[in-house]
Amino acid sequence: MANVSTSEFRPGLRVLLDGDPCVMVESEFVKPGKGQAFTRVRLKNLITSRMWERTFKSGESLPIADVMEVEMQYLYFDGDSFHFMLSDGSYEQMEVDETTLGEAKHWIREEDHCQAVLWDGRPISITPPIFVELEVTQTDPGVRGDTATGGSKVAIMSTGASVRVPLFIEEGEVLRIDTRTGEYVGRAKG
Amino acid sequence: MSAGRWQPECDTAALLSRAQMLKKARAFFDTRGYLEVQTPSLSRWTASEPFLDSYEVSVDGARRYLQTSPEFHMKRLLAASERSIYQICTAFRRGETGRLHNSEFTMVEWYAPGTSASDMAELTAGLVAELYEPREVRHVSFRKLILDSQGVDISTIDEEALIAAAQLLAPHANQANALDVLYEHALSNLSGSVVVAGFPESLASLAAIRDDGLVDRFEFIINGVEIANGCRELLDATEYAWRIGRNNALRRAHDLPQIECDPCLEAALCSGLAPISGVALGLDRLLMLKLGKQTLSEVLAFSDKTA
Repeated sequence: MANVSTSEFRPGLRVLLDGDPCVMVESEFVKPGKGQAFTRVRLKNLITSRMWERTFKSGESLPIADVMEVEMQYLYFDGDSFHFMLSDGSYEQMEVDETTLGEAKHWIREEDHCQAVLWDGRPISITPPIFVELEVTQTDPGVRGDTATGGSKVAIMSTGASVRVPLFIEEGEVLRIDTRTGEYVGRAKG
Repeated sequence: MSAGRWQPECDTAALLSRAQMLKKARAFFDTRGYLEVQTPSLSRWTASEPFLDSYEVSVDGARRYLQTSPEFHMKRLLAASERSIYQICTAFRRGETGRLHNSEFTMVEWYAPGTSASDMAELTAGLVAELYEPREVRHVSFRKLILDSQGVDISTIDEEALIAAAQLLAPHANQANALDVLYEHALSNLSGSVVVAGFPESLASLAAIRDDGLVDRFEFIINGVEIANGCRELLDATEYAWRIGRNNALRRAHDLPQIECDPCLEAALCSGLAPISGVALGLDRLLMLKLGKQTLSEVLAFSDKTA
């Protein structure tokens, strides 16, 4: 496996730290007074999304992580894992477990295209499209003429996600949702 | 890193400001009776501090070092003629590239016979006022700085506890660098102009020792960034040779190349010198602060990345 030493550290580099793939967010060369130089690095763990801060002595090295970003299409759930297909035309399929899918499972429908991070060829995280359009399967009856009060209620979407929606939304409507925040944006057009 | 970029990294304002700073620095020393000198960048000898890495180059097959500072040659000049001298030159340090570092940089270095380290700290403040802006200067001892920052008293703490305190800040801390780690952390929280003095003997470089056993050396810090460091110079040739030996022992422990004692400097010291003090100031860093920039490369025409 290729290694990268402190002098080559730079933001965006993907490395293995404590066995986990990480992306470097910041790297700073530090040399106090007459002392020994070191490199202070902030990294984001690509599996847990946690930020790590570490220091390395000059000349120390880290293995490069085989990490790449790809687009994948969600195919189906077999009751155990989620099946995706690479969008690169290779028809290669991959299974993703529920933990890896994380929050994305609330938003994706079959045939949706997602961004995925592969580590050593295996998916480690899935990001759904920023905006998705989902049908309301269950919500309390709409309250006519109450649009001005700005009140809201909970609606259950076809994927099982709960979203706060305005009071006038009714079952069967298709809504546009921002998956980054999980918030209602508006009624789907057309 | 773009391989094809040919344009300078800094803007025209930085070029103008640099030119003005160089003129002002010369005027500052000229009016004080200092003689401007020039000494070689390539030498058969170099600094031996363990964490100062010199570029070794081959000149017609002979080994030469690019100078990490003009110190050795300037001290040979001082031994020959006791007069105040200054130099503005490029210094080279291998492997030092980063936000506040560039492997070659502009150094202002000066020496004056019959002066003390505190005279020199005062002169440094005067030069900074001239080149940058007049600022109130606070004085703090190395011990007090770390005590205030980490609650650790380095004059009483045992080595194990010292390392443990440093490891809280940086996991790689060990016996060799615990003080550096604590110091770096304390600096990162400092604002304003501060003169740090009274360094422990392990951080002596080629400075003389005070009566209290601490090193007669200071660092001039602005907003946590080291701008200059100066000291009353070590003049004892025996002590000089001993320190080179100690540095080489540390170098061996860290798997670093051995550096021979400069026999010309040793002979110059033996010839006898009146007490002198000297300072080295990083001009690029001062320019960076003056222009409110965050990285050294913003005030360099071409940094390590584009040179």
